[in-house]
Amino acid sequence: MVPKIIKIQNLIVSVKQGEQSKNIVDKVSLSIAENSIVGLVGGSGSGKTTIGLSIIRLLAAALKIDGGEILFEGYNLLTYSGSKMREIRGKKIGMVFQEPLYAFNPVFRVGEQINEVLRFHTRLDVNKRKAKVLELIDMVGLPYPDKIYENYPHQLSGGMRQRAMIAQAIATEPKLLIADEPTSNLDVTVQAKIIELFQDLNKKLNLSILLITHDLGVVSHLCDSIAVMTNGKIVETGKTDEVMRSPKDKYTEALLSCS
Amino acid sequence: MNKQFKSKSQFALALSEFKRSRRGIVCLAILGILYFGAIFADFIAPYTYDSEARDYSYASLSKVHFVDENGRFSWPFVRELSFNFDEYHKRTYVEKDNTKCYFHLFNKGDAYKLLGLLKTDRHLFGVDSPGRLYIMGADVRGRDIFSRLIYGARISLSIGLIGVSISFTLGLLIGGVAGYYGGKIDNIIMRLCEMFMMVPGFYLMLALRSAVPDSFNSFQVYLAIVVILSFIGWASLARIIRGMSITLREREYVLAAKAAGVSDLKIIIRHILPHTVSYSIVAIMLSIPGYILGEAALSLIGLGIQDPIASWGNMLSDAMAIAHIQMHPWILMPGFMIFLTVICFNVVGDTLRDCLDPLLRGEVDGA
Repeated sequence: MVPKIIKIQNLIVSVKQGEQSKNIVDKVSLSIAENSIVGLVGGSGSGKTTIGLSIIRLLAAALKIDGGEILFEGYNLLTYSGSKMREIRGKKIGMVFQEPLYAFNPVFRVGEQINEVLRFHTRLDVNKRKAKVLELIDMVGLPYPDKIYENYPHQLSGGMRQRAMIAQAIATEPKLLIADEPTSNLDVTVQAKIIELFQDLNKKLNLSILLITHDLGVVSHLCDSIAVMTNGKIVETGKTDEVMRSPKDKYTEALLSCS
Repeated sequence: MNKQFKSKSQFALALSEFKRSRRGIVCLAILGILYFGAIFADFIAPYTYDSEARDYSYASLSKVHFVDENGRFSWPFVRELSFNFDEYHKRTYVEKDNTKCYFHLFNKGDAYKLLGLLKTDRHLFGVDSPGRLYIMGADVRGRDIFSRLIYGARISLSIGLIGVSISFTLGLLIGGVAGYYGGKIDNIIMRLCEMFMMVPGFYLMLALRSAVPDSFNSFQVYLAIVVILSFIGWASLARIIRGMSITLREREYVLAAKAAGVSDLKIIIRHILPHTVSYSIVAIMLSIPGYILGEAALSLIGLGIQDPIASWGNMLSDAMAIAHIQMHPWILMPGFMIFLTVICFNVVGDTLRDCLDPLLRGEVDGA
C-alpha cells in the first residue's frame, strides 16, 4: 500500500446555532497518498472548504472541530499547539485560495510577499531569498521574474496572480498543497494552464495536492482519485476513472450529468 | 512598442496633490522653519535662554540706529539704556548718549556646543556688549524673548512629536490587537480605553502630574510630561484602529498570511496596521497640537517646565496679569507662536487628508 501523507478520520466540524449545534462536516474520513492529487468535489456549502481549513486549523471562530483526527505524517494535527501549528502551516502544508487578488496584501509588492514566507520559515539570507523567489516565480511559469517581483498585486492579471499565489504556497517546498477552488475564477484557457502547472509541480517536487473544487472537468484532467461530498458527508471515493465511468452514488451521478 | 508606463505610488500621488495646495505648502514651510530654528537654537538665538540683564527688565524692542549723531549713515548700532521710574513705578528707558554697540553677523557671544558636538561662541547675529539687542523685547529679568522663544520651541515642538510617537505606537498596537483577536481581549481593552476617555483630559493630566516627585530635575520633568501627555492620547486612537482592524482581519490576505504560518503579531504589524496608515498620518498631524497645548497649559499654571528653562507655556505664564500685557504687550509672543504652530499643523493635517483620500480627490466615483 502507498504511504499516506495525510489521513483524516471521522472528522466532525460543527457550528453552534443558539442552543443547537449542527454538523457541517459529519464524520468524514479521507486520505491522500504521497505524491498524488486528490480531488474533493461537491456543491456549494457541502463542507469541502471547511475540511481544507480544518487541516491547517484556520476555521472561522464560529466553527468548532468536535471530533476525529487529522494525521499528518503520523501526528495528529488537532493536538498541536498554536506555535507548533504555525510551523506546519506554510512550511509543510501550503494553501492556495480561490481569489488571488484578495489573498495578496494590496500594499506590498508581490515579490516581497513571497519573500516573507521564506523569511519566516527558512534561514536563508537576503540575497539567497531574493534569488529563490525569482526562481519560484520562474518555476510557476511567469515571464520576467524580476519585473513580477517589483509589481503590486493589482498590476497582475488573474491568472498571473494565481501563479504568484502558487509560487508563495510552494516557496518552502511543502509536502501537501491545499488548493481551494484555484481555477474557479479563471477563464478556460488559463484554467488549462494552471492544471498543467499543478501536474508539473506534482512531478517535480513530489507534491501531494488536495484539490477542492466543484468543477469535475478540472478533476478529471488532474486528479488520481476523487472524493465526492454533499451535506457534510463523503458519499463516494475512488479512482477518478472509475468514479467518472460508473458512479455508484446518486449525487455523483447527478453531478456528472451536469457537467 | 517599448514604451514604459511608470505607475505612481500612492505616496507620490498624494505628494503631487499636496504640492498643488498653496495653504498646505505655506504651513509646511512655516513648520519647517520653526523646527529648523529649534534644532539650531544655540546658533540662531543671540543669547542663551538664561542670559539675564536685570537692568533691562521689560525693556522694549531695541531701537536700531542707522544714522549716527552727526547725521551720517553708519553701520547699524544700538545704544545702552538707563532707566527712571514714572509715577506708577514703571521703568522708563532712556538711551545713553555716546554709547554705540555695533551690530554684527556671526557675533561672539556665550559659548555653547552646536548640536552638542561643535564647541563655539559664534551666534548668527548680535551686538557688542554691554549693549543688548532685543528684537522682540525683554522679559522681567531682562532675558531676550526672541532667544527664549527659539529655545522654548525645542521643548514645545519636540513634546508634540515625541508624545505623538509614543501614544500612536501604543494606540496602533493596542487597537490592532483588540480588533484582531476580538472577544474577551477586545472587551477588556475597550473598557480600559473607555476608563481613560471618561476622565476629562486636563484633570487626568493634573492628577498624573501630581504623581511626579518634586525632586525631579528639569529633564526628568520634561520626560514625565511627555509620558503623561501620551498616556492621555492613546485611548481614542486605539478605539478607531480597533474598528478598522475588525474589518481588516476578515480580508482574505490575512487568512492567506495565517495559512503561510505568519505569527499573529506579525500579521497585525504587516497586514493590518499598514492599511490604517492614511488615517493615522492625518490623525497624527491633527493631534500634535493637542500635545503642544497640553504642555503649554501645564507650564502655564506652573506644573510643567520650570523657569529658567524656556517653554512657550511657562513664558506665557508671565502674561497672566492684564497689567503686564498692557504695559509690555510683547510678552504675548509665545502665545502667538503656539497659535501659529497649532494652525499650521491643522492646515497641514487637513491638506494631507484631502490628498490621501481618493474619494475626495475625485478619482473614484461614488464620493
